[in-house]
Amino acid sequence: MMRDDLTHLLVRIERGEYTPVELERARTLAQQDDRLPEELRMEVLTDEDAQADAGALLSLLDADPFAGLVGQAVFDGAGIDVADAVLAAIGSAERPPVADAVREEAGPVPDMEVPDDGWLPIAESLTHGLREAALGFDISEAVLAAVGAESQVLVAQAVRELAGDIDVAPAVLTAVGHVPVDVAAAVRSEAGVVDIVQPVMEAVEPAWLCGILDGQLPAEQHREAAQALMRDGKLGLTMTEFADIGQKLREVLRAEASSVDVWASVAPQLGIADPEEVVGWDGPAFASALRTQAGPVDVADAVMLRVQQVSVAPAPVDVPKPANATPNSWRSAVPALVMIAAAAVLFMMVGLPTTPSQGTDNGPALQFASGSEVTIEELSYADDVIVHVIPAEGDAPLIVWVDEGVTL
Amino acid sequence: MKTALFALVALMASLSFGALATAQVPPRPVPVSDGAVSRDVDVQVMIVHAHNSDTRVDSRLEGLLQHLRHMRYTGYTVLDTKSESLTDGNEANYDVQGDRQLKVELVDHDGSNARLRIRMLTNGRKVLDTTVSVRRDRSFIVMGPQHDEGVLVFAITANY
Repeated sequence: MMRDDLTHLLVRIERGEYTPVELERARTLAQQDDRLPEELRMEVLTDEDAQADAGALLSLLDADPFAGLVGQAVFDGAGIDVADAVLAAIGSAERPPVADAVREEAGPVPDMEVPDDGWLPIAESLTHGLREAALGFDISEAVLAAVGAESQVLVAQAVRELAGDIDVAPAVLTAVGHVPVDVAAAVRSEAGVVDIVQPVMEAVEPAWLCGILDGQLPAEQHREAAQALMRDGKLGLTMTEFADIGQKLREVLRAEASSVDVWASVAPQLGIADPEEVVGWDGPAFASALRTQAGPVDVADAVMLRVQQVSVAPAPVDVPKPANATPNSWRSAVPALVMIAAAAVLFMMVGLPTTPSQGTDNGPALQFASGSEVTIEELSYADDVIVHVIPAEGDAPLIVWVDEGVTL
Repeated sequence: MKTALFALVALMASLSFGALATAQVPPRPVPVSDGAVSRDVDVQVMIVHAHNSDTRVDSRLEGLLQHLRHMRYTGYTVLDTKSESLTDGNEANYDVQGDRQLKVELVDHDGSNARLRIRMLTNGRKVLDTTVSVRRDRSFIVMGPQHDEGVLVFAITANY
C-alpha cells in the first residue's frame, strides 16, 4: 500500500493541501519508489517546487487519483469486475488508464455461476410470446393507456380546441390511423326505406288527409288536423311530398286529357246530323233572349250562400230590350228557365265566378302569379306553427298558409 | 225546343269537364319590358281580414275570393294597402294588426322576376321566414295569422 500512500500524498501536495511532515513523507517514499528513474528520486519534492514536482510525478506514475480509492471500494465490496459500471457511474468510462487501474486494484474476476432457478427458459418463452402476439396488432391504445394518455376521442377534442374554428381533427385522426366515419351515411344505411304512410294515416283520418292536402277543410277541422300532424314532425314532410305528387298528377292528367270534345259524340244521339252546324242557332240572339226572359230573377245570392256562404250583390248586367220575343210568351220563357236552371247547376258545381261588389276602393284587382311565375326558394318557420304551401295552379295563387297556435 | 235542348246539352257538357275548362283558361298577358329594368320596385302588401262578421267582399279581391272558399269565411275586408318603393337589398317593415310585423325585403330583381324575402313576426318572435321568386306585377298570398275571430290574408305584389 506504500504506492498508494505516495500517490495520495502527491495529490495533496499538488493541490497545496499538505503539511511539512507530509512533504517529507512523500519525498522519502519517492526516493524508494522503483517506478521513478533513480536520477529523479533525489531531486524531486523540494520545498520550492513541491506542487509542480507532485504533478510531474503523478504523470510519471501514470495514476488516477481516484483509482486507488475506487479499486479499494470495489475490492472490499464484491470482488467481481464491475469496474466498467463503476467508472461509468463516476464519469470515467472514457479514460482507459483509470479503468485499467481499477481492474488492477480489484484483482482477478471470479467466475460467477448463473443461479438455476428456471427463470431463463421462462423469460425466453415470454419474450417470444410477446413478440408473436404484438406482430400485426395495433397496441397503441394499450400503450396510450399504459402511459396515461386518453382515448382518441379526447385527442380529437383537444386538437379541435387547439385548432379553433378550423376542424383539422378528421385529418389528424386519419394521419394517426383512425378513419373518420360518415355518421349520416351510416344512419341512412341502417334506416333503409321507411314507410311512414301508415303512421300518417293513423294520425289523420283519410277524409281529413284529402281535405288538408287540398286546403278544403273548414278552419276548425283544419286546425285539428294540423295539430294531429304536428305530433310527428316527419309527417309534415310526407304531407308536402303528397301535395307535390298531387300537383304533378293533376298536371299529367291535364296534359293527357287535353281538350275533349264530347259534343261530337253527343250530337248524333240527339238527332243532330252535323254537330258543327245547328240550323237556326244564333248564339247572341239566344243570350239576349235569355236575359230578357230572365228579367229580375237573381239566383246568385242563393247559390253563393249555398256554396260559399258569401252574399254577392246583383251583377251590373245591362239588360237589352226584347227584340225577338214577346214578354208573355210561354214558349219563349222555356229556354230562359232551362238556362237559369243550368246556370244554377253550374254555379253549384264549379263555384260562382267572382263578382264581388261591396268594395271600399275601386283599385285594380290583383293578378296572381301562375305556377310557372312563382317559386318558393326558402322556407322556415317557428316550432309552434305549421305552414302549408298551396302551390299556384291554373289561375289559383300561391298561398303560404301559416297555422298559428299549434301546440306540440 | 230543339234550340233549348242544344243549349242545355252544351252547358251540361261544359259542367262535366269543368276542371278541364279551368285548365284551358287562356294565359294572362305578360307585361312587355322595354329592356330597361327599373331600379325601384313598388312592393305592395294588401292586408285582408277574412271573417264571419258580415258578408261583404271588397271588389279588389276579385280573382282571390274563389281560392279562399275553403276557409268558410263570409266576409273579406281590406284593412289596409301598404306600398313602398324598394331597391335591391332594402326592406320594408309593416306593422300589422295583432302586434305583428311583416318585413318584406327586395332581395333582387331583373326584367321578369323579383325575389322577395318575407318575414312575419308575432310579438317580436319570428314565425315565418320565406323567400319567394315572383313574376313582376303578379301577386301571391301569405295568410293565416289569427285576428278578430278571423284570419289575416296578405296579398303581396312586386310592381315595376
